[in-house]
Amino acid sequence: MSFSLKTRKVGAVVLVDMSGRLMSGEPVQSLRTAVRQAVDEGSLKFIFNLGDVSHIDSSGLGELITSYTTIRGRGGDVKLLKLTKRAKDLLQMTKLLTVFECFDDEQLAQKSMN
Amino acid sequence: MKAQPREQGSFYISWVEESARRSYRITREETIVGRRSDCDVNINNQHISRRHARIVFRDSKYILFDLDSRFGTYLRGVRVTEHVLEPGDCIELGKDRVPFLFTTDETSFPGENTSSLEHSIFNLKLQDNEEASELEKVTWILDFQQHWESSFTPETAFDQILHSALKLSGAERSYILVRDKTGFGYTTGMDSTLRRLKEGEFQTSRSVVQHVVQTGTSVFMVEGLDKIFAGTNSMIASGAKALACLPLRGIPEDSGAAAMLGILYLDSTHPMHALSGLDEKILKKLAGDAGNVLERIEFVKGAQQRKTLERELALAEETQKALLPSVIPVVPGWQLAAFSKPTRYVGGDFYDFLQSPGGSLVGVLGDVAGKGVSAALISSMILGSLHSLIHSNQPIEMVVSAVNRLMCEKSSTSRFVTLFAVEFTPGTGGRFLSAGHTTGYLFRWATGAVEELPSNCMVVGAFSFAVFECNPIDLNPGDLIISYSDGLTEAENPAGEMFEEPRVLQIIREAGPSGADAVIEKLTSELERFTKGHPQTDDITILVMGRT
Repeated sequence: MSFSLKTRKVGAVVLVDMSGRLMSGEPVQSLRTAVRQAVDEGSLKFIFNLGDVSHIDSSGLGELITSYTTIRGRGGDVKLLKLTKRAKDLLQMTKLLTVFECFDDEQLAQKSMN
Repeated sequence: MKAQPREQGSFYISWVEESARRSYRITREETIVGRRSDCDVNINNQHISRRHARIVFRDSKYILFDLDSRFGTYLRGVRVTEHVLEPGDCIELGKDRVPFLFTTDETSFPGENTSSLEHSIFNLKLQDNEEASELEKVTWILDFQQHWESSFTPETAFDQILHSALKLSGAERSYILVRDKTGFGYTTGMDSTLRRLKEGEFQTSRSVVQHVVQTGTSVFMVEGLDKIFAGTNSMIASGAKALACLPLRGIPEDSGAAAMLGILYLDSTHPMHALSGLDEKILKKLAGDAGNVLERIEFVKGAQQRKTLERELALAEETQKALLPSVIPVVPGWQLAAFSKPTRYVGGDFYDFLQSPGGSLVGVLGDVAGKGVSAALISSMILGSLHSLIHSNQPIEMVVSAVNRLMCEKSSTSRFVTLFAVEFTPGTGGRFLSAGHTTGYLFRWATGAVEELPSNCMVVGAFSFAVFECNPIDLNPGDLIISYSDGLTEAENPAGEMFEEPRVLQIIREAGPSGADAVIEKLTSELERFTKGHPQTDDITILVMGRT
């Protein structure tokens, strides 16, 4: 399953909907580009929707960490939305659930940004 | 009969057949190359057509035509049907790509050092007294260098540009500035006595250079200086009364668009009469040719950089291999075993068994996110730090904290490491730490049960605020601790299925009673049976340790 990524803006929040395998190469590159572009345009609040992401490899995880560090470093925030069981297990194992705030409901995620 | 080419010097086709050098001097209007015995250039190779190619002398040029040959005619790897030959062109014929050199030097042959060829090209009598085409020859030579990796250097090419420019312009000094990361920097210079100028003697007018960089157009001031430049400090310092500054354009390898690759700067303390009388066309040609030379130099440099990179890769691989224990230590009372199968070049897996002066035994296995040289260098850095920290008797959580801090400071944020470490200190028992690593297993010899050793800390190197703690572990004789990198469970077979944890668990249960070596042996043989030779995409590392 190939990777695709779309961004949509809801108020001040950038929603990044991803689907497929978030792994090294093009997928990681497209996430990096999307985040950089939005940050350059002044956005600081991001929600990554991982509901349709079937697999995250170590580079994908690395990119989530990089995005988090970059955006937080500028005073912004990143929250994760709709983690699959597999993604949740991965974040649990790497203890990144203690860093990322995760939501199953988009409205709640949006609200938490205010 | 048309004019024969003899006045312009002789041209040859040279090749090597059955280790013997052969050469044919072109004397006719038409020369045929092929397998048939009546061809002018006849070669016995079954993949060359009977009448393969034709060289025709027309309008003072030699033109090569492929005669609809079955396996084709090639120039620099590209199939051609028609091509205007230049001395130094190496044509390749047929399926075996047999090389034929079009040359002015009877003594040069394809694939040999081109220094004699270079010499012959420089001494080639020019067909139409165009001095600037000296530089065209440099372009050819650089093509050769790229093609045959010979010894011609960019420095020689620069000297040739400077020499031609001085001769043409009558200037006293000439310099080349080449594009670098920050702008245009001094590369080399020469005066009219052909003495190479040192960087300290380099004096150009910054305002003129700036003008050329900004506008992309040439500046010529051959009789006195224009008012806008004359008063500037750098101009007064150089003492120049006349100068020319030309942009050198070419198409860099990394983009398809022409760009300013360098600047040719000429000046003189006297008016440059030669320059004032010079045809604008020739000056433009000089700059054009010099730009071509710079383009080839960039290309050749690119090829050299790729070679350097490959050498670095090999070096990193060597460094990493040197750091991995070549012999597993023998520690009384312990059974230790490990397996490591990296992907091509270098990956980020590492493992080690270490003993501290205080008597602790540490087993560690790590997996750096990503692959390639940087992953390998990070794993080398971590192994190095682990060695020195453990040798100073620090407990493993302190060691891992120190590595985490080091990585947060030194490497990019997207790099992190998952790590499994276990430490046994006499008197205090065992402790383990798993920083985001794939669940490890503990095989109980007495019951045959397998317990899980799940991740209990955050990955290493992602966040400076991460805290690392250990969990206790008790080990009885015959018990085994097994840790591996996810390259094992994610190894795929040709059908795209993964090896997965249940197979690993099954093997541990079966082979565990026979000891550490048996577990490694069964895991690797079962893995091989499963993958059926399907290419490995990630490093595979396994570590097993237990009490005897």
